[in-house]
Amino acid sequence: MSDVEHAGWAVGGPGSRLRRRRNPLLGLLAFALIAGGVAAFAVGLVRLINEAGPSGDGILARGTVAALNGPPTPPAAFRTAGAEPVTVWLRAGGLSNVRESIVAGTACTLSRPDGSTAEFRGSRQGASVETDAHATIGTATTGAGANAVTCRHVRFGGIRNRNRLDEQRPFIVELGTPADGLRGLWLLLPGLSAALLGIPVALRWRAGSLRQA
Amino acid sequence: MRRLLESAISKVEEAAARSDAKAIAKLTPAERERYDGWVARTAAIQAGEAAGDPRLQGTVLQGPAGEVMHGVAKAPKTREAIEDPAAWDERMRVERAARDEVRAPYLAPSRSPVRITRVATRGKTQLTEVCDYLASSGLAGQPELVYGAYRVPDLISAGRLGGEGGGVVEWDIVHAVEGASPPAAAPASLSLAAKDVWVARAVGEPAPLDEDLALDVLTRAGIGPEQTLGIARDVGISHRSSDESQSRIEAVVHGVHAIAAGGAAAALGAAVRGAPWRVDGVPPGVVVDVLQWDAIAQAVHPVRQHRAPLPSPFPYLPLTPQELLRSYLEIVGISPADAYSAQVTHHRSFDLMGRTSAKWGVRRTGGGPDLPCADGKPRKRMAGGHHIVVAYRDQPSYVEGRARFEAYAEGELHAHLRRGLGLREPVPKPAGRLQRTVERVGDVVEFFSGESGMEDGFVPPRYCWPPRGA
Repeated sequence: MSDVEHAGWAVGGPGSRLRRRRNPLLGLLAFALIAGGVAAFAVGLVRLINEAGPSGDGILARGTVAALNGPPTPPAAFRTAGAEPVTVWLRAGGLSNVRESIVAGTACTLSRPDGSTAEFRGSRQGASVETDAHATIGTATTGAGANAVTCRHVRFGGIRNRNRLDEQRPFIVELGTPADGLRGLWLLLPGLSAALLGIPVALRWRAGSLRQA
Repeated sequence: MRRLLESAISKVEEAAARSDAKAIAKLTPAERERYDGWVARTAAIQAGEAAGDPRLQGTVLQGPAGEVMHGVAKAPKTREAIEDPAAWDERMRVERAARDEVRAPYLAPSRSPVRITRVATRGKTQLTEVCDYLASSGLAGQPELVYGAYRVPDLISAGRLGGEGGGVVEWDIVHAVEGASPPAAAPASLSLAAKDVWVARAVGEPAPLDEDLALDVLTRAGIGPEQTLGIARDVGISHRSSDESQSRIEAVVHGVHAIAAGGAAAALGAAVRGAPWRVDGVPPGVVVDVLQWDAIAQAVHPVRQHRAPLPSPFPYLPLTPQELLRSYLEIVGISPADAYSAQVTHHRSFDLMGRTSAKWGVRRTGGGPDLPCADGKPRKRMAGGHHIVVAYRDQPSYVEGRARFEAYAEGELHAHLRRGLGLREPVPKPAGRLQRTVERVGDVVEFFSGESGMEDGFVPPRYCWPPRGA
């Protein structure tokens, strides 16, 4: 035998003067926040995965980074209709600290049709955007016509780092800035916030409130 | 010369005795209880009497369970615990029947039935909902048949987001009503917050018990036990964690509720004016009996999220606090018309994270099966409950009943259920200005360093803090 008899909810039974009511609008709001938030988060995540890093349509040219103390490599040549931002992506995987030192030890030069140049280095770009296999070296603005990018490894850090820079690596020149591939964040972060906000709203809806029967 | 020496020795002995008496007078009730126990033990040994194992000195549990719990004997080898709910229920009934048989000779010759009805509420509106149930079930119209009502001190769905406010909180109503009753008028309820000063106390005076205060209010309102539906401590259970290692699930008494039949609302309202009052313990002719439950729970229900293991390692001990509460009511033979309160509850701040794993030192919030709740839906449950409190108007027959219960507890349960309760501890001295400054500086250092130091474990006494004259 059990000492306790279960009698159900205290309110809402026969003779009860109170009823627990759930506000349908609150429920709808909770559903919209959670469902909309999760959907936006998922779409944002998919866009981020697909768009981050160099994509086929935007690639203007491919080249090779010259090894430290090695011979120069041929420039990656391409044409643009006007002044356009381009980003140089280094193909480099592996451990993040190794990859960071390789990115920092890479310098590139953009030669424009008018003879002017723009130099940029991996160690001076503020923040390098990284995907699984690529990392940015920097961004520059082209001139209308034939442009060329040359890259080489330069001294950075201690002896161990320099050894890593003794080999050639492929790079890609892509039209646009790295931020163009991060537009999924505009869905991902608000989606996450909405879903999180929806949880307390759902709990509040589920608890309901007492009303006179 | 010899006389002079004897006189000097006698003076030194007198001074030592005075100093001892002064130190003893400063002991808290719990310390005094331990001190007296050891003095009695020493006297017994000096008189050549058997004094038992010192590890069981002052402990609640004696006998087989006490010996195992306090390391005197090894735990008995038991069969593997039953997992299947139906088989568990069947075994529970068999063990319970055996305990009922043992208890039968102790039962009061004339006693009222004891029924415990459990209802589900939401944490935020629990008191309103229970009052509504008392009205709709008709119990509010028969307060002379109600022993009491209390918040079940279990935490349901421990991992749930959002705390207890929107969660399920159960209440037990202990009564003697057989069959259905027509709905009655809504009862009157009064809640007194523990942080407010309701009772005037000076430093060193005993802090009031929740029931002392509620009984004082009811007495001043002229409300007797035959009009009272319950005195229930306002127990809240919440997560408190500064980091993983200091995570606590704490049961805290936030105040006390007094629930009486509907007509008593005006009298209750009038009785709470003019605080703080002088409350000198329990009103005359009323008994507040407090019993230990947690010590038994540690033996029979070692992991609070699971069902108690069956076959029980100590089948002679009650399996639930409700079984012990029922035993008390039936053995003492309390009439519900005399009862103010019958509760399974907590006293001090109590960490439910203890006893959450069979492995020593492991503290978990999860695990365990879904167990039935009052609304019929199974949920995760962490069994709480520290003390059992029964308050009632005394009668000559209850004096005999208490003696019978004492004989039952000591003879059959091998337990001293009133040991180590630590009730009505003296009101401590509030921190001085220097100590408060040091604590504030410590808090600032802790904030900037990000390292939490020793946690401030001070919990002020309820209803009387700060003390008068502080």
